Amino acid sequence: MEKFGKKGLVVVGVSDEAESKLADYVQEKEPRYPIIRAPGAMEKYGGKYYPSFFTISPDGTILSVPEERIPPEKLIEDALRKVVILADLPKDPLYAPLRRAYKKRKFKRVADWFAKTLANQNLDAQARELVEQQRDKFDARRKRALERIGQLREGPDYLAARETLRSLSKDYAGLPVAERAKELLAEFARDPKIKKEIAASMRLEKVFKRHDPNKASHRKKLLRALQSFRRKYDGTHAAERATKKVAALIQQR
Amino acid sequence: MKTALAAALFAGVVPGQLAKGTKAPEFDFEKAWNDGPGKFAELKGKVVLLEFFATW
Repeated sequence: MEKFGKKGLVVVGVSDEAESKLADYVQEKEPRYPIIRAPGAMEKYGGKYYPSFFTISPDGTILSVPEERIPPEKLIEDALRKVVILADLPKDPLYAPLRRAYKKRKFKRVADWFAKTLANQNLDAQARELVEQQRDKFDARRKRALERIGQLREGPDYLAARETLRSLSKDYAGLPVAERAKELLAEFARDPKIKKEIAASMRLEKVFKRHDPNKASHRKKLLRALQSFRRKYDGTHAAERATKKVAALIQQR
Repeated sequence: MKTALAAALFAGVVPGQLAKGTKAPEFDFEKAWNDGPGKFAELKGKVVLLEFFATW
């Protein structure tokens, strides 16, 4: 990735999913390349499955399409998938506990390891610099998590927000991020409006699960189910989503 | 017919999907994360790898 990056390759991840889903994805996966929300883009290119890779040459023409499975693309893809925070750590056993804690997403152990390791006066200068760099990355991640929690309070997809808060409170157990996540979860549980939003979203998920919008034979039933759904849950974010889907389904006909 | 389809697939031509050498269509960026470009035009003059992905 870095190698291609230096040669001027620009990698862009494109998705048409909900803004809240993508924000969570960025938070969670920490991709090292830009992520763009662009509904309808995949259709313009006619991509058939996920992920689909297209390369574009500087003159604006398509250089490669997904079916070619060109090795350099595979390399880039593999590189992108690697866990970011540990990518530049040497294989030294010193870092083994950090790797383990990070992989298991025990972030309290990660934080403790940084504190303990940096408190050691015998740590040589080179290793110290490296550990400090990693600690800074981890701190940045924690900061982003806190910011994200602030945004989750605003909705509109409270079901997705609740999922994110639950995983944050688990991964960061023992750290302030988890405390904040738990506070907000308690707030969600108290707020009747948010409770209604969550119930509606769960119901909508079920509707989509029962009638696959990708299957032509299911569409009619889905359309009917969505229409009754949006009447029943009028005023919620889920009803808005249902309305949009209804419009899209009618257009497809 | 089958042979033609096989040949087309071999050449990387898939019905409904843009083929190599055609102009890459521009599209609107509704939102960008990670210091992403604000619009498609900013990608001009560069080698770009577009990954259409799903979070699920």
